[in-house]
Amino acid sequence: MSTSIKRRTSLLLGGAALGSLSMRARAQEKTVRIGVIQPMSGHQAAYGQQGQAALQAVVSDINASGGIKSLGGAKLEMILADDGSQPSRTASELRRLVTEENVSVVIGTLLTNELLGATPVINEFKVPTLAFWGSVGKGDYVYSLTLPTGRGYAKTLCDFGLFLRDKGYSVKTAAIAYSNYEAGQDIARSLKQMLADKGIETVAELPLDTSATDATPAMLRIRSLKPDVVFGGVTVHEGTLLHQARYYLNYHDSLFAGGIGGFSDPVLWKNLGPEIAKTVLTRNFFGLTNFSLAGSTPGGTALIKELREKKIEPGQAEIVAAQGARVLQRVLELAGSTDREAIRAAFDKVHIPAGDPDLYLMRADGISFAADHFPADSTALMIQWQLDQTQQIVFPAAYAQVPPRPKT
Amino acid sequence: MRPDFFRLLRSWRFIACLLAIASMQIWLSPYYLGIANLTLFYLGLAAAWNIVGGIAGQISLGHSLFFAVGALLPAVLLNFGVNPWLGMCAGIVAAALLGMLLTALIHRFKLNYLSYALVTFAFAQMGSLIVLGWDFLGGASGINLPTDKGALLQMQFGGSRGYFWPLAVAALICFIANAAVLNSRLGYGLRAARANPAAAEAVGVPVLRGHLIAMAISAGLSAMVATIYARSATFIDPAFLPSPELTIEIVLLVTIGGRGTLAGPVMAAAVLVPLGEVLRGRLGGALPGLHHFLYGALVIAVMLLSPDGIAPGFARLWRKHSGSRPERGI
Amino acid sequence: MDMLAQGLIQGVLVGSTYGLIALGMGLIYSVSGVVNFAQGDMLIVALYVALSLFAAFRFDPYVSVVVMLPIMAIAGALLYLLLIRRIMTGHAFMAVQMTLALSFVLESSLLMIYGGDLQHVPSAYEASLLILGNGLLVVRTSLVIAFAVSCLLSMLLYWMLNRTDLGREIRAVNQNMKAAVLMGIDVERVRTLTFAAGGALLAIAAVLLSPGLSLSPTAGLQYTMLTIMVLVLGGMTNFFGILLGGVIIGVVEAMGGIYVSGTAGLIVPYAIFAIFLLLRPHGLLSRR
Repeated sequence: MSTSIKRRTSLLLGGAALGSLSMRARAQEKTVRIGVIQPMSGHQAAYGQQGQAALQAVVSDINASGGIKSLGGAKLEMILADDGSQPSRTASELRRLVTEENVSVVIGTLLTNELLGATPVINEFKVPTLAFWGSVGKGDYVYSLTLPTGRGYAKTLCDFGLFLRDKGYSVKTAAIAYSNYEAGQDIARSLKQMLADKGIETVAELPLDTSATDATPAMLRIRSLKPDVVFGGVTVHEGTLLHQARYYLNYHDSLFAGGIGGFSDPVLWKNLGPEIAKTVLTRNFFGLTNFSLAGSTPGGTALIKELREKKIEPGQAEIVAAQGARVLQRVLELAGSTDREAIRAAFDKVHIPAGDPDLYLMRADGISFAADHFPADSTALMIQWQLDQTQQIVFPAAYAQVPPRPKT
Repeated sequence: MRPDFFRLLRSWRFIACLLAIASMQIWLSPYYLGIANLTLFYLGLAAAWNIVGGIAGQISLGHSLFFAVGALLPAVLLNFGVNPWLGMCAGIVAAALLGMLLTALIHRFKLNYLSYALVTFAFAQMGSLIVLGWDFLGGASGINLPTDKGALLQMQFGGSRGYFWPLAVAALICFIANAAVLNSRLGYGLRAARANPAAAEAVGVPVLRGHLIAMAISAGLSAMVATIYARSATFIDPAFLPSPELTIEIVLLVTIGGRGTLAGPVMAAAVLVPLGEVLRGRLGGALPGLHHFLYGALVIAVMLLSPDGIAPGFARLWRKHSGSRPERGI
Repeated sequence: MDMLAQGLIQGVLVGSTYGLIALGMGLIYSVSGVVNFAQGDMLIVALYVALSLFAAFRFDPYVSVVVMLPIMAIAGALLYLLLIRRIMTGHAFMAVQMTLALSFVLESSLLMIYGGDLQHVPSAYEASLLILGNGLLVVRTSLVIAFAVSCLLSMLLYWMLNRTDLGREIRAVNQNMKAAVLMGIDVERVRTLTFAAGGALLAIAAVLLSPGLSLSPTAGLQYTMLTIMVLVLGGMTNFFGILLGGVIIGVVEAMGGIYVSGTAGLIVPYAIFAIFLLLRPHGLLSRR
């Protein structure tokens, strides 16, 4: 594989050198066409719109600092498509990007169902795709930046539960509250199994419908069962409902530990309002996150500052999208070509090591893709909130800043 | 069966249309062919729904159950080694039976159109929740069909160019079924019952039997179209086919086109589906939501211009142009 | 036992707000035969208006209702005058589809103006709780306020329908439009005013619901379907039936989630609804 890449790269470079002699005037306009699929409208519009803003900021940076050097300074040209949060439309827009707009690679939020809807088209046209959030990809051409639900999210939660148990917290029974969509169900299923293997019994599984307006019934069940820990795999919307319900029922007898956005996104403070947030988010509460404002890589800290200057508040969607842009840049640099096969091969080899200024997510081994096309390093962080809306990292030990708060 | 039916099938206009549509498979670019496939899918579903919702006047919001059966039953059976073609037949039969059961259950309560719509909606919501909650049916992750390798015996037609044919044939079958029902005794009975159920019963129209047959046909056809579409998409999205939102879209299409007419569902699907897709393609990247806004505004404009639907509106224009002509089953 | 009581109270309080929204829909239906499929989206629009009023003037929703009432009333009237009136010549179902298309327009407008992020309107009472019975029973103050206002408004509406001239005209148009015209009732005026009243009711319902609610442009359809279910269960124009229907749906929703685990719990409200409707197709309190 690598020899043919070397050969291709040298052929291309040679060809480019020859070509540039005759096209020196036009070299400045060279671009790489990037297809971007986002759910800009529909139910997932929040993900798409937040991520897109950050994506555009980082891509402007890349272009301003010289574009893709191995392609003669070619600038990234983003062609944006909205799939309306519907997988059938994801397929349609992808087809348009590939056949009508001739993009070399596709990136985007691509939540799991959108990704599944798009997979047949990806495989038919063999276009390398980087999904920021989709956690199930099939086929050789899809690479995912998010953590897999099993060995990433569920495992982190389970390990954190064991970590608490070792520290003396009571962790014998558990409940799992989850958003009733594919990632939530996946996390719940994997987590229940992992907990059982470690002797922790799951006494209740509580799906929260994505169109629900109230989580009180679920919280009432929790209140009557009083599990030691309530694990959560919820989005911001369901998480907000869950924490509100907890406040309205004045329930603090369980530990709450969960993730994705529904436990750790800064926007929770705005959604809950200061009074409710201060009461529930800082008490018996831990959140799982890909990225935290508490402690970040040096690159991450610089990025946060830059995004804030551009009036973009950095949350998970923004940082993951920004990371995606940098991964794309590295991939293109490695590929040295706009040929789709070369780009795909470059995905297998890309590596942004720890300490690199382009690494924004806290991963001890940096970013690279394992054989299952998910990040090889699937560390996630557990944080706790402070009254002033800042976070402190409590797990894993390599990044922990403080020990977890005792139960009150 | 009225002779109009056979006249339609033999008419040169009809055959010319078919040939024109068939030719699209060759000269349309992949993106537009994909849109054509989607249009055929909606057309088939609209025509199938029209039999119950338009001709029989029973505004069913429960058809998502049949879409779900059509998509999921063959997929589940495939895990047990059943050939997809056989699975599709099983899906058609299962959907027809389910539809008849539902009709029989509700019929004795003599609901008005709104209550009927809501009861069927409640059943549809329950079905959607069951699909989302039951891992065996894929849960919220849906079901992934085997990768398409072009094996016709396994209902694999290759890429979008291949799937054009089964989708077109399915849509055609639904259209012909519509024409057949409209021109048959069944259709007369249904329309009589739609206008005045008590009077129809009084003159001897077997209302319940008519509804049962209409529902069986409608449900079976819907399942068939859903099976083929699901196979072409390779991924069965639990938030699409079994969801009430798709049914509401279909109902909107048929209503705008002209409920109970033959050309109505076809016209509405042929115009609105590509329009929606192209609008989103052109505008989606610019201002999110704009395409949907224009779509809604356009639909409102069409309804204000022609309150009983596109097809009757066209029929009026046609008659004005060419002098009075007796109605021809459209 | 306390779970039962808590669930019941929750259901009744929340259900009363469903009933209020359904009453607005019922009013509109009673004079026009049109089921407003854009009701939920109009509610969301009202909520976004409250959000904008807060962003501009820092008005608490309970205060900005004064501004929202005329805005939503005019919106309701315009809905009738510009759209519904022209489409009423045919089958009422066409008008329903028209309101559906309107809901697309409203939803996408909100998306264009406010973006897709979840929004929140801060409110004075959103975090306030009433704790009864030694901490066993916890009730949100905002829900209690909502319940009280809903009851009050319902009584006002009842009085208006039965004791005022406008109310009599509304009932006349509902029972027999042609006869009403013959009796000299200006049907257009009655309809316009009723639609305006429906809009005003939505403004109040929005304010009552806003504490703690996470707003997004796509939230409307869910409210619409819920409200239609309440309306039909209540018998379309039966006043107390609608309120009762709201409470029943609210209670069933709460109980289903508490006592039935998993997805089955989410199904319970629809199953109960279907059963009720089949058993009493003319409404809960109908005499037939």
